[in-house]
Amino acid sequence: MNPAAAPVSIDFILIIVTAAALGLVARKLSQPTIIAYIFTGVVLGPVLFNVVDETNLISLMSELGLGFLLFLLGIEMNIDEIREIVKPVGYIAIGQTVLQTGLAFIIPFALGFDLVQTTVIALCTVFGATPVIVKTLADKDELTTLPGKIDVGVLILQDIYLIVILALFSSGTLTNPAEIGFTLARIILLIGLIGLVSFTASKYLLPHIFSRIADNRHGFFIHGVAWAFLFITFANWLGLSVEVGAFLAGLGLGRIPYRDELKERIRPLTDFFMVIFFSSIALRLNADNLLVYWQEAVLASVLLMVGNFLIMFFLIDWQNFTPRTSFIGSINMTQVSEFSLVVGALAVSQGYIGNEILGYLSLMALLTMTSSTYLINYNKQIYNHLEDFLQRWESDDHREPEIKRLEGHAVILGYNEMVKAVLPALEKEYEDIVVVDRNSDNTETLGKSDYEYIYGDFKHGEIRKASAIKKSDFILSVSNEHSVNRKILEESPREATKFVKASNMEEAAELYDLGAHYVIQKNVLTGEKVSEYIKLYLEDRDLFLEEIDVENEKIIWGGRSV
Amino acid sequence: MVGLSELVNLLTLLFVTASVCLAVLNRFSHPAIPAYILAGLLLNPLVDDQSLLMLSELGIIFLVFIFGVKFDPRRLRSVARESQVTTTLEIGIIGSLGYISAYFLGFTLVESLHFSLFAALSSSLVGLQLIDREIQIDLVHGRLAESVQLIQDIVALVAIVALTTSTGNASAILRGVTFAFFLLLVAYGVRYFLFERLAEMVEGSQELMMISSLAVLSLFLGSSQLLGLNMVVGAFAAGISVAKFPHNMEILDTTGSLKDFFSAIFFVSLGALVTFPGTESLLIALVLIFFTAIAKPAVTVLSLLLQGFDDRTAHLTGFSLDQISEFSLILGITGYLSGWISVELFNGLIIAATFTMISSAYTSRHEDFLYRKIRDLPFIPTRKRVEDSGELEKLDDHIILAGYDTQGKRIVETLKSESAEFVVIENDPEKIEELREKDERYVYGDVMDEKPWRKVRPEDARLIISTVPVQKVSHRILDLDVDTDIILRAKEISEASELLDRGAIYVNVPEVVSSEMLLDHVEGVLQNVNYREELRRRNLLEIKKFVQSREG
Repeated sequence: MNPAAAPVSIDFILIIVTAAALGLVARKLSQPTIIAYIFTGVVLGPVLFNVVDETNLISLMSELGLGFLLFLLGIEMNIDEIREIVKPVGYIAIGQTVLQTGLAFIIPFALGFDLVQTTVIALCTVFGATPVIVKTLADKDELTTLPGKIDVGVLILQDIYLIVILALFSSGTLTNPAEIGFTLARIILLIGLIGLVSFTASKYLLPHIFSRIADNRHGFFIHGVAWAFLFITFANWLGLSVEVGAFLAGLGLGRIPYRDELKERIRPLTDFFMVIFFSSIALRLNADNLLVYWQEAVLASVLLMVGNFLIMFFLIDWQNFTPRTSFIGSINMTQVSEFSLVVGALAVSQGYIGNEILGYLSLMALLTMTSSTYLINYNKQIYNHLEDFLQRWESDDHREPEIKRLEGHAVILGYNEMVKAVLPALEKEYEDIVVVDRNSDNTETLGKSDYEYIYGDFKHGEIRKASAIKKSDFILSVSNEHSVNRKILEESPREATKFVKASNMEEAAELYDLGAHYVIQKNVLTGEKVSEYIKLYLEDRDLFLEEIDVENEKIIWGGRSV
Repeated sequence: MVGLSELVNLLTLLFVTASVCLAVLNRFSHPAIPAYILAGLLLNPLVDDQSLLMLSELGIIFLVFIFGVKFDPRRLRSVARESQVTTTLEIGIIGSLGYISAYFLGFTLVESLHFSLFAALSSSLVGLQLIDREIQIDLVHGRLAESVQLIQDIVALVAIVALTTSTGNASAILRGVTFAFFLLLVAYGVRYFLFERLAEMVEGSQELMMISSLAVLSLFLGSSQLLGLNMVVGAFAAGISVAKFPHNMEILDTTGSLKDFFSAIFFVSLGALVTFPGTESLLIALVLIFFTAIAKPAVTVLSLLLQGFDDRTAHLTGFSLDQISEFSLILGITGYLSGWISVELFNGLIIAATFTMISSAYTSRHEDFLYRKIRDLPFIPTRKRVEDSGELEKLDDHIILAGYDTQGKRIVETLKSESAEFVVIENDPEKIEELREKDERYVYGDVMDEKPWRKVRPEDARLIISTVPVQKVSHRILDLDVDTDIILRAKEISEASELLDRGAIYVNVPEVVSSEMLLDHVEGVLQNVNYREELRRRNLLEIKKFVQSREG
């Protein structure tokens, strides 16, 4: 093909390779990958080497990246996860939004930015970085602890706030207060409308469509993508931004039983586009843009981090949580979100601010995200140091709701006759049983059952994480995929009882080597059994007929019930 | 170039149409590729964009990359052996016939080369998906088809290198092939010396694992461009270099989504590039369809029969090869966009590909019906003689065993220890070899055919046992309509209950049998802490014994 028109231009190659290299460095420093991607743009763009330009394809991909990021966020948004603490979290989130917006206004205004700039900066810096927080907490396995749940709850409300802001920036003007009010009302109405469509579809339309296509790996994924694009265009047509549509599309899909699998299929695509998106932000900036307000950025970062922390701390404390919960819950939330760059980039393209403000925002994001990652990573250690001081907030009327976490449970992979036969026995022993299965015929049965049901493929790392296999006590896999069974044995704790399945002797031997306690081999088992019967048949046919009668009866009854 | 939002609109249209087509074809369990091409044909007048072509080239790159990741040289060695002769014959004969007819159709040299490859290669993506279950339970024709496809894919890759590296002169081709070989060597070097270290650094982060494998892919693509090679070579080499267990699983999992996304754009674009076909395009399509759907299977069947495979196996293998390859589509679009092949040939290719990929789903679904029809035609060659172990006339009040798999072998042991008279029907040459060595009575043939049954005389037998978990095989045996007792095997309870209804005295369902055993063990573990270690020790011992006994 004509090399000049090659899609994998040198720009593209440079971005991916640099991002991967910086990503490795970031990992060594236990920093989130987003930092690495922003730096990729800094390194390759005008600030340092100036070797990559923003081409049409790159802007398309970064646009899609943003859309898919919000699509994923929408799918992930699940009120159910914080049901134990919904009320206090609601109060905290509202208080936090109001107070933090105030703080975000005061800081830039005090630093001498003009009114429009201040407004943009304030709206940009008010959010917490959902992906960074969720990712870091998930890696530390603290997402389902009480502080983690409070943070997630607050972030969910912030995301809705963010959607409104995004819509506000992409339409109308920001100069006339009356007009802003009018635009805001219109936006909220439209968002409500699309949300309603998405919600209705999730109830009546999507379960049908997806149950039909779910067993077709390819079709399943393409349906999800098409749904996202449909809403993106729909939102666009109504004058809202791509992101709003994608988010609302995700919200609908997040309510069907296939959400986990879909999420994991969409995630790699999002990760890929995100690299392009975050590196393209810094591609637009030159050194002057980035550094013109560096003093202000440093000062604002410090103020904002301290301010954010204090606001969250007192709000959580106000809701009668213990000092420990308040401290850890708030130290997780000190950074400026990467969405500041999203909103900032949008504001630049609408002409509200210049590139130097975007540079200021990027600098703040970089500063606060890098430092806050260490705060999250060492949150417990910091708390231990400050424990004595924090005890003065201790009082008797603290009410901490009980948070149920998966631990010492049974994980079942696959759902077939064998599993059905052993489940009653397991139920007696284990309080929590997680069933991971990816057959759409079982969705209804399992959805109604008392088991924790995850629809998805165990190949996805996140699905394995969701089943908490690392903390399980009993694992049974009837999966035919040898690689999956190997992965299970590698990831499961040594003390757990492990039953897996193999389709031949070589596989079985390997699985025993990896520590399986029992490897189910259907062919061998049935060979044994049938041989026994045949022996009986040869010796005494009548006795044989009597013997198999019970089993045949079972089959006939089983066949009828199907 | 169009604006961003228009491109987003275009993608919306593309994915929504594609998913509708997928949903419709999925109802008839059709493969995905023709659905995409159909969507492209529907969108034809609307899609005309360079950016889309760029995205679709990413689709090609990811398709080949994933092929590289899945590519397993060991599997190639163990599986490909069986069909070397057949594949060579098939590609040789169909390739040259294709070339000759292309010459008579008035094509240029380059076009004729393309045409002959279009005719000779079949699609592993479509073909293997259709016979997935046959491959899983290791039926001979499934294994043969997989083997033919694998070799063809390699041939296709080599052809792409040769056809696209150069403007035609011999030294350029030679240089291209040398460079490609060099790149593959580098890929193996990376795989064995470098990748493990990289993987260790990103261990545990799915995102970084994906980005670093994409970085490897980018570097290989960059080098292939520098060396003047087609990017397909770079993508394949990159796939090979990262395909190391256990990391390949994660890479397949993540980049699989990228492949699905971009390859959908690629296949839709193919359909969208088709212009309104004139008579010439239709003629070309017809000739290609003839080669793909009739001549290619025919050559395959003949060659398999000559090698001694039984009739049914030969025909069924043929049926699973009757479609145009996805690599031909890559060759086609590359050739078309570079101006090497005419728009008529490109149109003809896409039409023929869509048609054969759809028709292929039908031929493999109705394979037995088609097989019987074809076999009864007067001019179709069949194997006259059914091979057996001899001494079958003596059999009386004997036991007939269909299938010499793991279960079958166990049953044979029992029958021998009870010194019962028995005969095995089997169509896998490797297993026949085993039976011959052990000096057992056997008939080499397919249980679905009549001939083997005529030899084993079921009416005189005492018992028929089948270990084949395929419903139509069970029906075939029940249709023998003899008074003999019949023991069958079924995959599901509902199927088993139907077979009992129709007269089998016993149907074993592995899941039912194993679940009793499983329940015993689960209860044992739950009641007694030491049970599981004992269980593990005992079974491990058993396996060691088994492995030793097999190694002699």
